[in-house]
Amino acid sequence: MLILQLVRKLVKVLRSAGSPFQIAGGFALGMLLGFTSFKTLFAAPIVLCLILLNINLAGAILGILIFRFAAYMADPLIHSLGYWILTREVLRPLWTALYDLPLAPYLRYNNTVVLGSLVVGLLLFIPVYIGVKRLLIAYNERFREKIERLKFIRAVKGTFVFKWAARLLDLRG
Amino acid sequence: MVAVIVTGVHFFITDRLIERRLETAASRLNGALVELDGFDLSLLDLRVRWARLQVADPDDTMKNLFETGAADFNVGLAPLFRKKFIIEELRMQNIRAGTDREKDGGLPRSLRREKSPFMRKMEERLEDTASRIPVFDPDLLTRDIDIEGMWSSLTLESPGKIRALRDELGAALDRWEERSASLPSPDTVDELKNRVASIRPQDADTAEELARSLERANAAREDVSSHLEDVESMLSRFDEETRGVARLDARISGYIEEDYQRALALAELPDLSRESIAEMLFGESIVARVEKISGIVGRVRRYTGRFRALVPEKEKTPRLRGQDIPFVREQTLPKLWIKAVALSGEIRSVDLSGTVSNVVSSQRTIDRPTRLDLSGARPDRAALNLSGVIDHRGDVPVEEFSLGLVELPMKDMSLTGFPLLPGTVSGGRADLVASIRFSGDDMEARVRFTGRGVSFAPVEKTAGMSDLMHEAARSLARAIDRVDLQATMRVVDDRLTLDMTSNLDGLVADRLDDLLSEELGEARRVVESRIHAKVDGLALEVEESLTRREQEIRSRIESVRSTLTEQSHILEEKRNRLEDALESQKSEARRKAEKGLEDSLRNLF
Repeated sequence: MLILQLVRKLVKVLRSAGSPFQIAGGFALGMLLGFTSFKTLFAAPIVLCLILLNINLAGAILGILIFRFAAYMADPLIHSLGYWILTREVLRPLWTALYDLPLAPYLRYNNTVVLGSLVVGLLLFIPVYIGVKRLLIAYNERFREKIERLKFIRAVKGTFVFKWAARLLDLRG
Repeated sequence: MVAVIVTGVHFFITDRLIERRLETAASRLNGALVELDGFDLSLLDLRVRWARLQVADPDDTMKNLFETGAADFNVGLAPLFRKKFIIEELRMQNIRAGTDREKDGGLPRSLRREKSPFMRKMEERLEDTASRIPVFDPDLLTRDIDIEGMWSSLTLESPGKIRALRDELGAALDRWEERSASLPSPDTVDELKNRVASIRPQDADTAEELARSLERANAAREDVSSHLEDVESMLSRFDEETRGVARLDARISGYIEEDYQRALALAELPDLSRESIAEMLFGESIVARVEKISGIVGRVRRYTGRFRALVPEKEKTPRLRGQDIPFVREQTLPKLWIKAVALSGEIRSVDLSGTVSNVVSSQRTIDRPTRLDLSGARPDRAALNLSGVIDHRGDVPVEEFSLGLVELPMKDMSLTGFPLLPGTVSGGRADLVASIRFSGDDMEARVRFTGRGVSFAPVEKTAGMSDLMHEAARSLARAIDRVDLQATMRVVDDRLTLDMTSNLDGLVADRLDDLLSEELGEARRVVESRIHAKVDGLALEVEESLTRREQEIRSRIESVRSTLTEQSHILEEKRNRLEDALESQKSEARRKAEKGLEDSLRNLF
């Protein structure tokens, strides 16, 4: 039962901070992490933000999963973008100076996919945050009741499996 | 609890994680698996140790290029903050080359890289050279020369040619049959003979009679000479036009010889020159070794090339891996620098020790080349010396390696895969001096191998080996007591040349000639006998008929000539007698006239 309790706590954490702003923020940070990956030091501040800020972790996890897949599919473009940025003569003094700074090499900024992904993630951060927030607000205001009244949704909620899971995970809120 | 977790994480994740990352990075660089066993990283003193390192051979993934036993080194702390790995000294023990692997060292597809342009070019050149090395097909000796197959494919031309010759000479003789009709007829000859016989100098008493006889003799002589001249001219032309009959035997033999040669061509016997034997014996081995070394050089160049080029070329990488672009600044530390590697181990049972200095990611940063110096000896006087320099500081990368082996026991050494040479050496000592130098795309390799007191293990007859090959291998084993090989391979201006000579060239070439001569001689005898069986009857018949006709015509002409010549001699003799007699009569008459005149004058006075 210890495991079930742990899972319950996890679900609780994931379901906390459920406002559209928190969900959108979690999703956007998850997107950033999905692009940059955990193998570089760039991940550290993002993870720190996820821990310290009051944002929705379920949204973050969803963002990581979706955009990790997107990064995989868009890898050739991201690699080309990163290569283009790193080989600009005008930026070479910057990169060279960074290369010798302590800890900077651990950022792996000189990797084409790392830098390209970071740039793409940063560019998409605000549009994704705003877009998800608006989507969630619109969903709550206009579509939530309609969707919950759908026969399919009611049928799922009426199943034994859903009821058992809801009781177990205290999903009823 | 937290401390336990942190310690566990430190112990399990750090070492394993770093070990895996090192293995992955090194494997990609090597082109085959690099495996570390017993990897241990101590964060307290930044000390790294491993129990075993295996570097798989990309060309033979079930073998290791080399492996080491225990190794340890310290990594500098301050450079580590800048992700620079500076190692003062790396000690590697028990290094061995060419060891067997337990599992395949090939890389999964995701880690494989395309070959560098340098390696692709070298491989193309070496493959082209290898394809031009003559290949000895032992079946040429083991298989019987297919006489029946050859006979069925062979179309004999000599019978047709003999018949054509018969027709040609026969037609000439036919013409002479007709011409011989213009010879003086027997009646004419008899008439001449009678005329000659009728001239009787002894019967002419008076001058008038002598003169008349002489006149008749001259007239007869003219006729005889005229006929004789015609007959001799005819004989001369006959000789000329029927010369072919005299050479009939030689011409028929020539036709038969042509059929032999075509039969031999159908047997497809090899043409082996001494020049090609050396390449056949050792060419593949030399090409394979140069290819292996080129592969290592190519991988080193690929790694250091990233740090030499200001803007490295864009690479195609696996998804999510990306390409690292280095930003090297002069007078700073390179990304990786192992200042000295102390090696000890064994190659070919020779205990070795030595150093590799300045293994570095960017030589320009430290302005020093990488050097290798290994040497060792055995109690039985065998010694090895391996040295090398890798200099990528300039625009043109340069690599040089040289290997010296002295007094190396040749026991159990396999010299070559050539089927006729005995497989295993049982005794002897060898010296080897080899060097190879790469400069950009150019390359020069030299090998000098000398084996002294060479002896071979008894050559056993294996399955599939014919008696002929077995005997050839045994006789070569007896004949060889020394092996001298010199080889030079050069790549200049994109062109590869390979020159090789060895003392075995002549031995093997002579032995092959002997072997093939035996087989060939037997084939010739069989083919010769079959051709004779087909052709001799016709040749004899043609020869006999033509010769007989020629002799008949000739004897006819010569008979007439002989008769006329004889009559000419007789006539000449008779003329001489008549002339002498007439002269005598004239003298007598003159004497009488002078005496009469003298008497008359005396009487007058």
